[in-house]
Amino acid sequence: MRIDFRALPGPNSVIPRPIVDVFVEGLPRAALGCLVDTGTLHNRFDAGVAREAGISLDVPQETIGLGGRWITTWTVEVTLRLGDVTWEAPVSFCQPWAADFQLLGQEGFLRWFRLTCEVANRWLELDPQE
Amino acid sequence: MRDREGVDPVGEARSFLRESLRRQHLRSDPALTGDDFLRGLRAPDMPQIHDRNSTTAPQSTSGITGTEDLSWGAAEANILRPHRGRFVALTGTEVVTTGNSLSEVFGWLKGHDRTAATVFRVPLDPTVDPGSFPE
Repeated sequence: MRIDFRALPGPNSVIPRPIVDVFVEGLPRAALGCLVDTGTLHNRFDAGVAREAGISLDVPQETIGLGGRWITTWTVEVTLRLGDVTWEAPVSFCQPWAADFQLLGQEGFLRWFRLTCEVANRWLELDPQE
Repeated sequence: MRDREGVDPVGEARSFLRESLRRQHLRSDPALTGDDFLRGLRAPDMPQIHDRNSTTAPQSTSGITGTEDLSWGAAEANILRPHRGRFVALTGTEVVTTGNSLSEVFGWLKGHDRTAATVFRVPLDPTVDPGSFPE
């Protein structure tokens, strides 16, 4: 599936970002805007998403560095959906969370798709991996 | 040095290389070579992700170049502009609802039995990378 970059309002211009909308189990009313982040190893979501979705975070917590600060995370297996593609992958739910978008990383997202990114034309293409 | 047929392979290779570089330069996007800046047309917060001295960035194949490119996504971005820093539920170009938190937005959708294509917080400054270190 080909997805156009999302046009975001900068102070005086438009900034394109590779955002895809991913549904999380327990939150059927809307997908979450997620940044495709090839530099992130795992999926990192706001812990508030887990609270809204009723996802139990009754697992040992970890502390990781993200965005220049120490963050508490709880990593659980979650069902995610993008378009017609559904997959189960670990998501680290993070607190505090300062990012505007959830982050889709290598192991929990890119491992499942073949990514083609054409920045010059502001689109990305995701093909499910067999 | 020429071979028996009078061909200079080194000279030919150099010519080929020169021509390749010239074509590469022509392919490069004027916005990335600084031409728009010299014309005084560059937006102050245009993405600074590219080495402006480089001449190797691929050009858009859509035919949109330089100053025309600055209008890309403007309509979509302007819909979001009043909501910078707030969470939005969005379907196409319709802002379904906004709120100060994820919980507020999903609570509204549930309370009004509505759905949306996506929920996210509109960045105050979308040029900031999530992995960048705050000061």
